[in-house]
Amino acid sequence: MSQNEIRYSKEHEWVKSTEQGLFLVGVTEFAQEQMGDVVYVEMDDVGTSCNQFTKVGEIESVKAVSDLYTPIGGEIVEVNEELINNPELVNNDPLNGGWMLKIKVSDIQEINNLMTEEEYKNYIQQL
Amino acid sequence: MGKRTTLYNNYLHKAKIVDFHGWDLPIQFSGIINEVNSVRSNVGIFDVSHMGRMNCKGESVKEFLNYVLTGDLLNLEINQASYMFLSNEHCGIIDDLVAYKIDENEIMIVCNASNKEQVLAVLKSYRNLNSNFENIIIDDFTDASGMIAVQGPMSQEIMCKLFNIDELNIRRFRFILIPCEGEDVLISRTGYTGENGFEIIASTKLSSKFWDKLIYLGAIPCGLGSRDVLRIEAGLSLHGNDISSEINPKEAQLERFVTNSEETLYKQAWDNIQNTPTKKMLIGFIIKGRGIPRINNSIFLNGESIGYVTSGTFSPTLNLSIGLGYVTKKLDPDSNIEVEIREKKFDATVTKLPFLRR
Repeated sequence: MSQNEIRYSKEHEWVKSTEQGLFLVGVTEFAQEQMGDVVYVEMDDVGTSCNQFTKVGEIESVKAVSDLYTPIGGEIVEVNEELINNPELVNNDPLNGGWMLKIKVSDIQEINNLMTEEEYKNYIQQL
Repeated sequence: MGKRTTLYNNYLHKAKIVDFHGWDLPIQFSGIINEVNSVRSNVGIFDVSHMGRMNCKGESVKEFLNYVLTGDLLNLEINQASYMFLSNEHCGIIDDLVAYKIDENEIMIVCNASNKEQVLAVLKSYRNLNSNFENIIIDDFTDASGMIAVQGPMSQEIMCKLFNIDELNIRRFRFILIPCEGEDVLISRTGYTGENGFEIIASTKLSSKFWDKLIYLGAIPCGLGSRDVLRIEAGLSLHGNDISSEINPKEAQLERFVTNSEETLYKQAWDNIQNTPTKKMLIGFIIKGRGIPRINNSIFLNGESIGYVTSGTFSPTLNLSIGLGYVTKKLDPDSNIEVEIREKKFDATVTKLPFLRR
């Protein structure tokens, strides 16, 4: 997987590689649209270890609460503090400024359990 | 496919549509927060055509309705509207509604969409029980009409432009009939947002025209999502959440809407309720911290469970989370309570309603 290449989970999270072994995680455009206006984002603490597809946080919109499942396992090395005061970044810029977690990946092979951009586009069209 | 209002085609491709008690209605257009802000600072419009509309006509219509409604129709003036309840014999709230006095022998009722069939059934059953009322006509004209709520500080201005008039002087809870394209359009100074605003009732054809023209004039289309946030900010109860046929007006802190002292279906129950302390009562509260209260969350006082949440939301206007709920203890404003949201207790403060005073 090359830098900035993006992979998707069925739960509408994305992951993309940044520096060596570090990956950013967030939710997709489709997810933010479904949730509506996000008002609170609460992530697990930095230092927490997580397995692929396990819950690592909660995203609360005016309408409802959604769980965030990490599309890849590892250790949380950073959470996007910007979302505390500007949760609307999740709606306005879900793929960039609205990133949620930075993860030090433990098994890069887990990427193969995720969808490519094209696969994800087909996936959401069938929903 | 659910029922669709006459405005459905006006906004079909511009809104996210959801099922609401059997109706396909817009939950949001541009986004709940933007819509709330538009109503608080400018003007928003809501399709409320799904709400039940019926005319009750006949010589003794006021006496008839007085038997089951909690407002006093004998003291209502022509062109005046009043918020009140349809009560059962135990003083449970079958529905909350607005009664409009069209003339001495005609009262229009606007009720909740979800309760319309029951309101009709209850009214008809009382009509049939008493031969004095057998000539009363109850005409449900919901499907033959549309209803638009125009709400916000700029509502007066946009209404004048819509009807091409210089001024629109209607006092709160009054209404007028304006002739327009061969029909009488009803405009009332009413709403469900806590903002200055109006509601328009017209034929299906004119309603559709009005919707498009209001948007052309700059009104922001709003959905059920923002409507719910706005009414909670204004401390207004929603039937099915905060009030129901199991709740009486005293428990709901809405005693002021029981003004009818005539002989009524619920008189004995109401006298009893007034003379005994209530077992539970509605409160408003503000959450301290980053959690949004949701229906059925538990409310605690000093570690003891004392009630439950009936409505909750994030308030964009106040930038904090607010809620309504019932508690079994009498709590003064500013009392500290806790609300359990997803297995985590949040500190909260009892707050005098409305949360937002305009």
